[in-house]
Amino acid sequence: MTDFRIIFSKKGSLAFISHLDLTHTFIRAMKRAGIPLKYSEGFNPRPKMAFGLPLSVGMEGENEILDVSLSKDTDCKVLLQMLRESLPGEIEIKSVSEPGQKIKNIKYARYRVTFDGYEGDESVLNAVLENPPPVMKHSKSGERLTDIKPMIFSAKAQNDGGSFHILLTLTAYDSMNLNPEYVIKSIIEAGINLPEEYTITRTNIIFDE
Amino acid sequence: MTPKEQAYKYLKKVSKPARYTGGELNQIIKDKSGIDARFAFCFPDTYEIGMSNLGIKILYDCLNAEENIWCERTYAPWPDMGELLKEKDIPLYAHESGDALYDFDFLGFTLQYEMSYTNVLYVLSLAKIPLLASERTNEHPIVIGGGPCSYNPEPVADFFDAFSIGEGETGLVDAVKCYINYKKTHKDFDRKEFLRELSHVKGCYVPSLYDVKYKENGEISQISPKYPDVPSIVEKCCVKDFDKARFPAKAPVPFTETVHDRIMLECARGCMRGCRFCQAGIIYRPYRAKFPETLNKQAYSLFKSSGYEEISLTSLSISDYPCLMELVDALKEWTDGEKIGISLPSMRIDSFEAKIMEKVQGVRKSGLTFAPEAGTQRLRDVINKNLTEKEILDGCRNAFSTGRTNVKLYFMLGLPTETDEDVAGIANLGQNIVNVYYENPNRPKGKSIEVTISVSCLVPKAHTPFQWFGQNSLDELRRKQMLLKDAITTRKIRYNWHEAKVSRIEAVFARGDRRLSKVLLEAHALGMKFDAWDEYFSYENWMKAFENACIDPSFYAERDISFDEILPWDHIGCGVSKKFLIDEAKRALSGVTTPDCLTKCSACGAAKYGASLCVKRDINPKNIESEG
Ligand code: SF4
Repeated sequence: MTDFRIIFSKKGSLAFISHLDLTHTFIRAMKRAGIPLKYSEGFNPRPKMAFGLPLSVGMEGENEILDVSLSKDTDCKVLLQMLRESLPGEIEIKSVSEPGQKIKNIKYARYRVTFDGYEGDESVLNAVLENPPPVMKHSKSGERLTDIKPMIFSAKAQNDGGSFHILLTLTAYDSMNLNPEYVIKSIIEAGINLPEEYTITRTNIIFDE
Repeated sequence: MTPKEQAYKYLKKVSKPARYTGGELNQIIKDKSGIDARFAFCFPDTYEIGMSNLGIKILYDCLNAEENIWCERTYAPWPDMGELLKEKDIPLYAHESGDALYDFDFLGFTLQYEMSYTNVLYVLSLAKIPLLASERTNEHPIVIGGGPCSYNPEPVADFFDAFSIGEGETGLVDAVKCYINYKKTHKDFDRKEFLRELSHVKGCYVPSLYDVKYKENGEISQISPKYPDVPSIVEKCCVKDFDKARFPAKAPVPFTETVHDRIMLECARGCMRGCRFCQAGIIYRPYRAKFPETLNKQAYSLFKSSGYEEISLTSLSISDYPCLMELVDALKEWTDGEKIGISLPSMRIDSFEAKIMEKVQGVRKSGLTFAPEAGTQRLRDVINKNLTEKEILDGCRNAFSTGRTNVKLYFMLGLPTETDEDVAGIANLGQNIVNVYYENPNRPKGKSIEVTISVSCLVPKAHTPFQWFGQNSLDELRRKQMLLKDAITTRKIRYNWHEAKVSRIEAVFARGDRRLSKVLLEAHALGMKFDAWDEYFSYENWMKAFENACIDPSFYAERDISFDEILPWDHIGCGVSKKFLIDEAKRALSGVTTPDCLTKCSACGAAKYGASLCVKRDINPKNIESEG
């Protein structure tokens, strides 16, 4: 097998590195381990690899996707082992398998927003999430007031005693890609006082069934 | 919770948060219980610049090689992060453990350029450590400095408990060992007593143990140690067997892009050429080279531990490295397959170079650069820059014939004896290069030549033959910059010049004395930091700082100093004799050149370090070995 899908998590200090940095981190790790990367043709050959979805700086990811092509037939288990030995500890390889569904078929992403020590009212928040007020959102044509409701597949606030979570499933393709920060913005827009500090974790990436 | 963990919560708000997290591959984590001395190493500029510094990588490795020493890293936080730390009352921390810097045994600063001095104070204040060494107690870390600027440490002397002068591979480790030993043999730590002991360690300079007296006219009348056991001259540390010097096979690899994001292979240390303005050319004497086999092995282990895609062969003048061709061939045997590029900065131009460039070009084509530094042969002789116009033009002709169309030239204004003709000579040289291009009948159709002329201002540096010469006044430097601008008549030449104001402040500190500490305190009080960055440098603020401290900057920058005057750095031994520097200064004034070390030894004084160049008159490690 020469084409693989790698599922990994990215945590701790790694949450703060950019998408480009993450690309370099993987390339370097594979080069260190002697993994035979396949390169593109042309004057400036680049390794053939593609991430499922870029992850914003500051967010952690639990099940991120990376597809790579190698120039030599390699066993999944061997590749998994090589990656684990070479990558820094805050990137954990969860699995290596055949690619399966194409990256362009990614439809949704799941997020968990955590507010430590926040004592909010779940029902109030859930009501807001039912009908979120529009927010100013960046798009290719500039910043404009956008209704984000169609981009929220599901949303739920829950108080776990001590930490407060908002669980979101948001559309994640083309112009329908919604960053969870906009949902938080929208909640604040509705007049709810959320704490300034929170963490966002992308828990899953979901393909079109 | 460590200060780093405290800061994590807020990191999303600052620019480039990956600068502040640590956690890089190959960072070193140790168990605190087995540690006798904790050392925090600070590069007082951004993470991206600090992580690119080879010296830090070497020292991080040397210190951590000692089982009972743990060396960590820290950098100057960008102002947005600095504000945040202040606002949230989080002390500046070291990246590995996340512990506050004030909890360390040592805080080391590498001083690479004068414009980072305000950042030293900025870092100290964010670390909540008293700025003045005299105000620190037994509880505070020992603040120690090193790097090229520590060859004249006087302007920052009041802020440092000690300096380690010279090559830290030996010097700095000895300083920390002295501390461990002191702690083991004394029940209570007494800062003063320890510093006195530290002053006996090779290369260690403890500024508080010296008295400096001044004459009425502001000149220094005397520099003397306060006690007989304190050395009157602190000699630099120098690695004798450079080939076997400890080298970092593994160094932290940043996640985020840095300035030099590549393997830096230090092929040689020192320079044989003796340009008279160049401080590195003096303080790193004598020239020492490594075996190509050693370098090839080191490059491979660096690659295996980093995964970098480029190897840069470094040295002050890489084309002087005697086994360059052999090394490039050996590297290419494995780098080609791994798709790794080889780059050669600081090349001189001759046919040999062209052949090498062709070899490495396949992977990476670098532009053509020269540093003639002066526009006329007369002035190039004054500065001892051994590069003729013919060599430059031949080099260009060569390069143009291979289809290259970009040439970059570096010059300096304000050199001793410089006339307006010399300044105009820069424009002429540029024009002659353009002419050479159009002489080539096979030049690429439809492509134009671009010659870039970059001009900086001379900053006379301590321990160089030019240390006695004053810098041109700001007005004079500006006049020359404009003169040159008017002398350039073709649009094929692009002309860049450095802001003379920055060079003037650099000149003040490069030749400064202890009284300047006051200026730095005033600058810090004005909130000054990141002065090496255009967006933060403010000449007006500097002038205010000088005024508040009642110090005249021109006394330091512009004054010609006589050969018999006591220099503020006379008690720091750079390995080269003052007599040699005076001779060189005199030869400069009469336009007499001095041959490079290989052609003829000029008995500069560095022979005492026993390098094969000085002793055996040979730099090729191969020949030296076969001699036994
Ligand atoms: S002693 Fe001679 S050969 Fe050695 S560095 Fe000095 S001038 Fe060069």
